Amino acid sequence: MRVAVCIDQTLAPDAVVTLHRARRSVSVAAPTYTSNPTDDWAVAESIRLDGANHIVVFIVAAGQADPLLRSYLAAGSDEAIRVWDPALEEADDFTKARVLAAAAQRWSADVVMCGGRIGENEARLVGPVVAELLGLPQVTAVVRLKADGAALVAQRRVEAFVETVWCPLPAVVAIDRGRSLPYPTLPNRLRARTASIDVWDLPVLGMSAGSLPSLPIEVTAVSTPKPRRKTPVDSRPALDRTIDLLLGRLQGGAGSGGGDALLNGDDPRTAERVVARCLPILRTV
Amino acid sequence: MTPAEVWSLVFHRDGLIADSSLEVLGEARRLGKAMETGTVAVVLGDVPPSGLEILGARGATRVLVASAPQLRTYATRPQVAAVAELIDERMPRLVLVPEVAAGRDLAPRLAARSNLGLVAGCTYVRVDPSGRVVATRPGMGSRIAERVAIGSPGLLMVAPDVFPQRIFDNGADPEIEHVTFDDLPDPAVELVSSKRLEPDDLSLEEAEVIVAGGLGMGGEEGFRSLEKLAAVLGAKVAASRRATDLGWADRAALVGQTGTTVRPALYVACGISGASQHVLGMRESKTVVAVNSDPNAPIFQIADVGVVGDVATVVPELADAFQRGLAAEAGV
Repeated sequence: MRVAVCIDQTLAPDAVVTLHRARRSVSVAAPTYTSNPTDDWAVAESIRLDGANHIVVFIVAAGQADPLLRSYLAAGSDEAIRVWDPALEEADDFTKARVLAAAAQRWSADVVMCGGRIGENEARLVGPVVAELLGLPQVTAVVRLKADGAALVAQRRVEAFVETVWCPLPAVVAIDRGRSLPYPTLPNRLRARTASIDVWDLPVLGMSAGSLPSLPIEVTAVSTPKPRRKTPVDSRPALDRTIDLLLGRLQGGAGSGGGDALLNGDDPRTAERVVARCLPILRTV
Repeated sequence: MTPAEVWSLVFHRDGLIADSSLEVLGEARRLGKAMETGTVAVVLGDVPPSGLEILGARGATRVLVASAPQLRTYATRPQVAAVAELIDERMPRLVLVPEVAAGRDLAPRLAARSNLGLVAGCTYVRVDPSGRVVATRPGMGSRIAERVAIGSPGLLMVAPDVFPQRIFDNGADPEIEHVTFDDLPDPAVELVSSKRLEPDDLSLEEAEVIVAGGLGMGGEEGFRSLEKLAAVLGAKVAASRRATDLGWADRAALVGQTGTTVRPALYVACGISGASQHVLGMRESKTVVAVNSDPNAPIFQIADVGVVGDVATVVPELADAFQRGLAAEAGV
């Protein structure tokens, strides 16, 4: 079974993003990238999939993605191929999905795997779009995957339900949750350090810079997100606030720790305050 | 001529319409009003008539039910084919899709198939005086907000809890139209089983809520007290190295450098000092609540909410408070 894992990279949390309102664009000073957790899971599940005897990791990215690809080689994937062309610099998820579909087809994958989504609210298009372009069945929201002869059995997490589905091959699988990447073995690490990473350009895939489709939408403005709720501002005189803080410290440490003020466990209102803070989170899970 | 309609896809399970679909329908109605056109609830697969009654009050001026044997269970291909056919035939202005598992499964494939614009994660949608539809979505890992203009027909994905459910007074029940499809493609994917999720089904890595205990729990009995809090929260119980070494918890529950790395939405650390080995395994948790008697414990450096106090009293108090809070919420 040949498994192609289509991954992407995401901006590192410490990257500084600058807005250019007039140009409706953003720039990132010296961007650094990191992996998507869901992509990690997709690679991890492919490595653990019975019968997956050849695993390739595909990415649409410039050379800065090589260390990420090597980390997946070290974890146990067999091959890494980077697809790059200067025309892909501004590619959106849809264009990338189109390119990845062509790459997976050229490589004749039996299973195309990808991460289900980035973060909380950015939907990943890649899985379903690749499936549509290749005319394959798709299984998304997968949390567990097993091979069943020439088919797959996947467990999907659909809000408060667990569904088990059976899917014939070839197919596209999008992983929402999975196991951690296996710890790299020494031979794999050594191999990953020197392995060659093939680079495919658009002509290799029978595509050209002029024929790149993107989603028919247009970004009209960029801004910094507005906070949904305003934090109440403590407008009392600075002296009062300082006294409160000091009193808090004397009474068991409130206000002495990291970013947020610490709450006093002896205060009967503390539990309610913790609950008020956590209920919105529980609502989303 | 009436302008093209606003559609809202409605997902359901066991004849019950999901709350997220009702929220999105309410937003569709707001947009429909702004564009002076009808709002159509598009239901995929048959729902008993009692299930459809609610749609009028929640914003639908018309209900379209797509019926076919292939649409009964999880079936991307027939669903996409059915919606694509309806869109091709009737050309709505917008199709709002709840951003739940079914929507995430269907919308991108539909966009690729019919070459439609798609904006995911919409937090706000506005109709210009010129009639242009502009949706706001987060970009670059939520660092920026982008305003995106979308053509006709366009797909907008809206996450649950972004918009409130609204009640509308329509006067009369909306007209219900059934469209039967005879030639939808085969689903190819077969649903083997489906059941409600229990916390036991989750591995530690998958759990969205984790209650973890460390040396500060004081003993095996103290550690057991976490189970009540975990049960209330629907959480998995995890442990620090010291707690597993002392045998209070199973090795499988170990979070940290030598155990499991977790990224839950909520991590409640009780009696855990926050040694770097432990923090390595849980620092990607979205929200961390820490309870510890030592105000200088390193765990407070990474906690979003810190409580300085005795776990023996604070943990049961939290369990009770969460139980009340969740019960109050369920009663709403």
